[in-house]
Amino acid sequence: MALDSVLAHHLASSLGASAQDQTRLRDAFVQHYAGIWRFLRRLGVVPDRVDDAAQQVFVVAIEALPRIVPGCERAFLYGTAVRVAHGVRRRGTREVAGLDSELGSSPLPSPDELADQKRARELLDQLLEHVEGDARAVFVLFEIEGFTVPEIAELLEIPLGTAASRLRRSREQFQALVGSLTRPLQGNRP
Amino acid sequence: MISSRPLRKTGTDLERMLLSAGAAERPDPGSVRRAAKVLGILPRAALVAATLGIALRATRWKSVVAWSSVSLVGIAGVALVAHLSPPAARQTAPIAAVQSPIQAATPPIVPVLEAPAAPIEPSGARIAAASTAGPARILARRAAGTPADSLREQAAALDGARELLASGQPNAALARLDEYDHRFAGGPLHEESQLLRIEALAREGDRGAAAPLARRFLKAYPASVHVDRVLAILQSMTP
Repeated sequence: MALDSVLAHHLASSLGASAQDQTRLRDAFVQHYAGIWRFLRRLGVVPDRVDDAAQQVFVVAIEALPRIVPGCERAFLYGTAVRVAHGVRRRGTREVAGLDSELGSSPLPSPDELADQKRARELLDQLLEHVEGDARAVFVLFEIEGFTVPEIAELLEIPLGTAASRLRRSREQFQALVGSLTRPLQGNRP
Repeated sequence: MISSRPLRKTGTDLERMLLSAGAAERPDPGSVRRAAKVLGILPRAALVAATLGIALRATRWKSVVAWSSVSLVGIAGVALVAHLSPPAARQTAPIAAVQSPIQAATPPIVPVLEAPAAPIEPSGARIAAASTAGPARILARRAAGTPADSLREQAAALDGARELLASGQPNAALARLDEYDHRFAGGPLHEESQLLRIEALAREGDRGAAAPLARRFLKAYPASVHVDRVLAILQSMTP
């Protein structure tokens, strides 16, 4: 179903939602919209699609609100965001097939450049592109969004051991990638 | 055994710098406002500030239940469905009270289908517009005499001004906007009326009035969905 149809349907649902659910939606929005938006970016949703994707996450939440256990809104939203990001990226991949991020050709920015948060985020996202799909979400949830491993296991509906192993694997990948960026510079030092 | 402490605290300098930069990113206020509108949450400045964790003076906002879709911003017609707060509660100060508060307690809302309206100009509210595109739009209808009716009336008045503008009658459009401002001063569609006024003045060639008004608009509503349009008008008037 097209996003506009989905939105129209869910908006109609939200308009008829109870005052309690509307308050929950508002609270969840205030508390988590920025985090969901950022999470989607770190999962590789491109800037011109991230607004739509973040809205989609909350639209899904609107319909599910009556079924979401109070206090579990955050977990629901982030779990939904993983699926939404997957869908958005899959569509994006089809549209930009063949366009690969060339990490190897991207020189390490100078410290001054890295001081620029935007450049640092671009580099971070380039690195995260090279972290395996399933492990990437675990990595971002733990390292950036501050979830614990048990929380991640719950929201991704995976065993605790799987969450821990994905975190370990993603950390190794991330550290290796960062290391590969710094080694050539260290090697060039007199 | 995996460390339970994040790399953001225990990693190398570069690792910490990268991860901290990633954690510090926030959506811009415009993103928050658009999402709030789509989700039926009134995008007042205080809500945007709270969502972004920004301290804001005089943050005073109420529970929200409705979503207004305004034809002027590309949504064709009005789908506002809640009680507006009393006129005394309306704010005319810029930014912090762009729209009238909408109170939480509402009777049941009945979505109805209506035929599509005439084509409308594109706007920045992509999702909001998309959500009402297609062969039929879902609008919420209430009993006559409610504040929602007042809003429909306001939207109709602005639609009239827009049609005059589209038909090459900026002068008549300005007269209609004067009438609108007189009747609905400080109303929830103030941004839209201002945008129309800027357009009308620009089309009339009154750069001396249009440009300052456009600049005031940008200053008062930096996160408005109309910012791009106002900037384009300003640019078109630049010699």
